[in-house]
Amino acid sequence: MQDEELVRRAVAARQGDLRAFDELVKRHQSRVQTNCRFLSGSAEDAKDLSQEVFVKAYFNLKSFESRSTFATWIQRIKVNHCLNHLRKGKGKVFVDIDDEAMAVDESLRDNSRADDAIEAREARERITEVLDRMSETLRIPLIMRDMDGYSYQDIADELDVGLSAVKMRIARARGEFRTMYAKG
Amino acid sequence: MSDREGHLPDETGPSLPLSELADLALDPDAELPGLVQRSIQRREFVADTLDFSITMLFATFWAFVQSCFESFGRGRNDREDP
Repeated sequence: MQDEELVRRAVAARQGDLRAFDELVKRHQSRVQTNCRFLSGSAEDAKDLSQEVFVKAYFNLKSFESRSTFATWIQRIKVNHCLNHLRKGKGKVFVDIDDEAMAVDESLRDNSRADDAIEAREARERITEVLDRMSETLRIPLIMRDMDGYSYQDIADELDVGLSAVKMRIARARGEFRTMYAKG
Repeated sequence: MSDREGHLPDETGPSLPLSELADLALDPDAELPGLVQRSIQRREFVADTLDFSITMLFATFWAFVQSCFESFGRGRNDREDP
């Protein structure tokens, strides 16, 4: 079933019937959580932020018009919510020791490295490490561009900085990411 | 948000978009859908309670106004028909 059909059902559902919306949460939660994780720079904040993004989306479902996809719509809510969170100064930029994504499962590490799942997990951990080491100034426009697919102009508008500054930051961020990622 | 496919001219060489980020997805948190549901239900409950409280407040106020008018009307009738 298409997202838009689920939205229609969620809006038409009686109060308390969250089945359709629950399905939308399950479909999009991985992407939302990943974005919130890297925009905020904290696994702890990402959980709260993702929850708030979906709650906000639920209470604004009626304003969703099918001119864009649900994924694009929720992405807007998510980016705005995360940026507001950072602007309020609630965001703590640090590397979480308990971060699930960072924690290396030793049992997996001892087993066959040929396993695709393990390789993918390790790659994710390396990406997480690299992104966590980057400054917020470079990380946020990079995430918005390469993860969310925002245009340079949209990023400049959202972050309230000049277009050339955004381009420069993203180019620098990509270079920095590649260097750190290659070093491992 | 639409130019992912059509990269800008300066997105070449070392400034090429990071494909690692485009497909990055961390393991979903199994608790999240439940947390979202509970949060929505809590907010709806608070909104309903507030709505009910405001309705009751207006109903009480309206009943008070009506009783004031009734007693005023009764007092005037009593004076006119001794």
